[in-house]
Amino acid sequence: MADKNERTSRKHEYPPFWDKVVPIALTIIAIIMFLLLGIIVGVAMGLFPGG
Amino acid sequence: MATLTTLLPLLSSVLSFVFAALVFRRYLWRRRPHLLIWAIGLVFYGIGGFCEAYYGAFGWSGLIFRLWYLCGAILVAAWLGQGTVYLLAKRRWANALMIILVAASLYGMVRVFTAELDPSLMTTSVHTGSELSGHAIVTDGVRVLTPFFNLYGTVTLVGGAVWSAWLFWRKRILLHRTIGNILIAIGATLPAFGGTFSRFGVPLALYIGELLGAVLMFVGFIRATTPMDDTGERRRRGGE
Repeated sequence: MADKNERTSRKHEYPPFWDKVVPIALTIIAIIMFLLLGIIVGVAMGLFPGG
Repeated sequence: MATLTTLLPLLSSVLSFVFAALVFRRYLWRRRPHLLIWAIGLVFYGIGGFCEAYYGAFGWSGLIFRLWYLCGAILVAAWLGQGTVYLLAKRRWANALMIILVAASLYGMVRVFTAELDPSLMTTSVHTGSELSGHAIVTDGVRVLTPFFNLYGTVTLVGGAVWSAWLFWRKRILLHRTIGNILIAIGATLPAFGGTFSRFGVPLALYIGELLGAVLMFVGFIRATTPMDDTGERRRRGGE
């Protein structure tokens, strides 16, 4: 039973490295995504050369 | 430089077709629609790369240019994103968006293949003279379509991958999928950034962005679909 509980709880853990890195990475990617969306909108509006 | 303008997109193309075959094989096993749509999107990616390589090796061709613009510039991101919509959204919504995407894609295809081209404007010659550019399409109302497809593709593909990774991280489950989705999200942004840098005069930026994007999405897909082996970790914990 104890082993079962341990296995169940372990499913809800990440190694410390990933636990810290994932939210930082996702935040950076989300910012980049919004930047990209801004660029795409800019291209659509003719604000950038070569669009 | 001329060799790289052939080699880089050729590598992207081969990788994309291999990736598409892998995803399609998975679709045959599992019959999940998102896999089929992703495979179609990756075929578009591969066609776009092939057209760029063809241009680098043999030069101007109206057919190749039109195929490149349709598949590589207009359709690829939106179709890859549509696969993610099938994965994350309710089937009814995904089907409705699919109908709109198919209709818009057919419209785009007709517009691109009936547009007037000016071969002298086909590269970003003002800046780098290396990568293809949509400038050669001189008919009004064609290039204006591209941002709408790319807007949809970016929101659904990158946003969907970020959203999935966030959900897995919040519940602290399926680390391999979290990592895989992060890689897919980064990979999906690279071609767009490459295109932007290319416009601002960085040589080969588009082709490098496309190749790195294909590599990262491929690795991300493999990572997301391959559960991590934690037996070593279990053994270590057992010894504690």
